[in-house]
Amino acid sequence: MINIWKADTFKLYKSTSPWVFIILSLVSTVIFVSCSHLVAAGELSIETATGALSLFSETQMMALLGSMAIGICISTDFENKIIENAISGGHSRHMIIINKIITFLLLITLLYLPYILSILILTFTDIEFSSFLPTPVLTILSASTQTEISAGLIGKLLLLSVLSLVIFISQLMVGIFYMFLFKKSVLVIAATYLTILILGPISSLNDAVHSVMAYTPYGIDLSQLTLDISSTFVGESLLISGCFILLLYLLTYAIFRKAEVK
Amino acid sequence: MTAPVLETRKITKTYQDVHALEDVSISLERGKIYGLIGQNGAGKTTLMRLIAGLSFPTSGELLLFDESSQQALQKNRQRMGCMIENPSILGNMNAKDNLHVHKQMKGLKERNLEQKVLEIVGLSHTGKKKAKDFSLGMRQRLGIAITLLGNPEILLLDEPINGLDPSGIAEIRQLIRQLADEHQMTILLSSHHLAELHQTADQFIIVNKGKVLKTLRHSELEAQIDKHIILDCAEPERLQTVLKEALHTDNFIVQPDKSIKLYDFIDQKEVLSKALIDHGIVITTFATQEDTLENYYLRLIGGSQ
Repeated sequence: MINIWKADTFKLYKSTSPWVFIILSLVSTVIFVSCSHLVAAGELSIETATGALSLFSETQMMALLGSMAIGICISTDFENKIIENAISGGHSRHMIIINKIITFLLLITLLYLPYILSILILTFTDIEFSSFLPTPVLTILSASTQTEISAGLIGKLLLLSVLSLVIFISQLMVGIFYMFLFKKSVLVIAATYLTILILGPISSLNDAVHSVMAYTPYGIDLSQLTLDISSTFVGESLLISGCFILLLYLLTYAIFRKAEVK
Repeated sequence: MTAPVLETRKITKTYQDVHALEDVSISLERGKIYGLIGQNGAGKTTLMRLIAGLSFPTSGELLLFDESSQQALQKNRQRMGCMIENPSILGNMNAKDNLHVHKQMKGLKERNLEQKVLEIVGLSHTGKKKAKDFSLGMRQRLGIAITLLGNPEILLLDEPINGLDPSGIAEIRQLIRQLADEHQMTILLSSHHLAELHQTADQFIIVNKGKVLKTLRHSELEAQIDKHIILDCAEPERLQTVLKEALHTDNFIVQPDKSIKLYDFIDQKEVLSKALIDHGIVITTFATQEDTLENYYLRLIGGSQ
């Protein structure tokens, strides 16, 4: 079962693009967290920080880098006939999808890792941070550095990190569906990024739309990922994200089960 | 006769209203090389894609190692190696790493397998050179190397000698022959180089417009290939008149260069020669030849159209 995944990890290890994306994620983390500190220290205005610098927030970077990573690191398997060889080599289509999802999980986790590490490391410092944008990383960082270190705090930080990662993964999971639908990297990147870019703001358009979007990961209110998070919110977010991932897996299998592979 | 390792029974593949394949029934035996012949769009690649599981037949049955259920087909495809259209190559990796990716996908553990296979296809010298910098011929060789991983029992090779130079073609021909003879691999080979197929294949499957026109063994082909006499002279029109009026034959073809392929008088060359001299025809070419597979194929296709 894990043969395709092993081949995938070897491919990723040998390719330049995943490393470039991880470095970009690392650089964005440094820029974003530094901005937060500078705003808290009064050395940078909130107006400047909330402008162009908001591009370096984890929500923006995960949408952008995540879409590109799915397109460039995973979807190219259709273009270079790796998927074709997997099928003709006797791998089931179901297993191919599962293996691609595992690779996708690994890739997105690596992209989000710099943000998680920044929370876990900087919590142990006295550096002040401003939550000038209501993103999970800044909200958690600004609160956690003011809180006394305890096992409970570390546990909560891990829970929030994992929960935010699961939400981002479920939002980006649409990229896997697009990959098996379009089979072209450029289309996958564009469609995934646009989906996240459009569906996020749409969910707050009006109550009717919000009530529907609330059942998707695009409607989850990320500003609620704070140290005071309720267990209900954790449960609901995990359930919505989990169901969404499962739904997209089923849709992907439905379109790929009998599809022509070219 | 041994049991077929691959069999198709009345396979039809339809795209909207177009029959890409219609009632295709073929049977491939172990250790034989099959030459799949047909024009572009005849259905060669569609047939290979169906066998490889990349596409599904509209109707009909596919059997691999005598099993036809989807589960069995999938399992038995692990005993197959395929190179359909372009080889599956990652441009940013060298040949060895490319093979390593496919070796892992197949779950093979053998050490130095990559090097061994590279030596078989003559690419062991490529070192760190990335596949994107390979020539077309090198890419084809690497594609063949990928199909050889895991000692498959069936090989599907679509245009494997595309882009190879004459010595490369000869090497690949020798390799294919060796795989069939020594490893008992069954090889389904499509190529537009009919002269090459003629030298390599044991049997021929001729497809046209999605249908199998003819399947025949090498020996049957040889028996069906006609012998003829090539005649050339400075006055081709007069030569034709002499053949018709003096020798009473019209069993000849005038070729584009005005030379004549004469299918009569094969065993009466003296009679022919004397008659031409008597009529003052100065012959510049007089040779006995056999039709090629290409001629046979063109005659067959021509007859079907």
